[in-house]
Amino acid sequence: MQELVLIQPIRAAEEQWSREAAHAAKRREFEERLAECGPLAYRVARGVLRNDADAEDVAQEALLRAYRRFDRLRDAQRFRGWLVRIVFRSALDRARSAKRRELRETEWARPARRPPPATAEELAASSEFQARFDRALDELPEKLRLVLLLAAMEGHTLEEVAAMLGLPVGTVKSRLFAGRKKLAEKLQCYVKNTKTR
Amino acid sequence: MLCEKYEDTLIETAANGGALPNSLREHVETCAQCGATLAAQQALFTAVDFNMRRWANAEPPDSFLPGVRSRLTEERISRRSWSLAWAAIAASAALILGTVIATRDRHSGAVQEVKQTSLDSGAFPHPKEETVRRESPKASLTRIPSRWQESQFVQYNVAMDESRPILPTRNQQAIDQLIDAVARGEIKGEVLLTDARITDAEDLQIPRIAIATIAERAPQDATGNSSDTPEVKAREMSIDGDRRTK
Repeated sequence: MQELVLIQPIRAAEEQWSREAAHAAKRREFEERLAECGPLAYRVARGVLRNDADAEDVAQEALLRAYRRFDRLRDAQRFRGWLVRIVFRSALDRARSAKRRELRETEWARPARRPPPATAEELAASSEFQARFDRALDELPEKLRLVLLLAAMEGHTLEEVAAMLGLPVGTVKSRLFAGRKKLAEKLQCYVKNTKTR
Repeated sequence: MLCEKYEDTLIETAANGGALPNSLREHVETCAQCGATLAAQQALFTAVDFNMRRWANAEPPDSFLPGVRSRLTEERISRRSWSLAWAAIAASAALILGTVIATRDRHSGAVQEVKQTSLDSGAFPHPKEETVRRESPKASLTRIPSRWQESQFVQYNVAMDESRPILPTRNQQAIDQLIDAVARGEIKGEVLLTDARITDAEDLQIPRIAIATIAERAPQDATGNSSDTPEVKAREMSIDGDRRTK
């Protein structure tokens, strides 16, 4: 009994060391992926929050959260999708709390009184259109918004988006189409005022 | 009004970015209103796509990745310090537990060696230090079967011929002090016998003893014979007689 008690701390220490070694290996693996996936995390957060400082903060928080949970990720191939979902959720939480705060302080600015934009380029670049576009994005269902965001990122094919989200390509296509159409519907008020060249 | 039925198709076409069906294309080429609607919808989707790309492809600031790395380092350090602290706490707890168990085993083991030291004062017969095993026939009579009960008593070997009194633990210190005081001659044996604190010992059937003070004892001669006075010898003989009758 006495021997068992005395041996126990040594065994616990060995287990601790092996855990530390495994953790160090995981940490190296995570840091290798960081350079590749860090910008992706930032863009997802920026896409939801549309604020550079908030996006940076939330993306860093989400990456830390991912780092803490990295041991639980069974399939390393799904790292990008897994990270995207963590960042997206974190950013939505931040956006909701910010929106509640904002609603208390200000009212939405109505885009009613504005000079008509001359062309599609001017329309796209006008700050009012951008503000309305941001608001329309916020009103989209989350599943459509995430697909739109990932599909709009440079270098992402529909197949990659589908793999990232674990969805069939057909589902991604239909969500992308539905998302763009809903956005356009919310922005139809600008069409009547748009002149074509 | 007739052109309104084409509006949905025009929007679908603008959204897909594809070509118009042949029948509709002919109409759009001749109808200025439908042509304007199609152009407006195409401009809208172009603006939507442009804003979506702008929205989705923001470049992270230069401080982003270094910031993440430094936060990861902080996280790692704090996690490591916590794990080290927990390991130290666990090791200390295990060590304390081991010490406690080892101490208990030493006190309550089946075979227990007890050294006689506290009574080695010359006030009692056979004062030399010796090791007594508990399996002696007399001790086995007083063995208590339960481990818990056993821990409540300390077998106190007094190195007398047959006397092996068992003392309650709570009285052990008081008894030790009394015995030391008697050995130093500060207390006479009669006081000890009338002391109420050892009534528990009577329940344990400890033989009555009379203890002579050191002053009353004469030094032994070279042959080991005592040169006690006749009164002291008589008293010791009465003690021996009492012990034998017990």
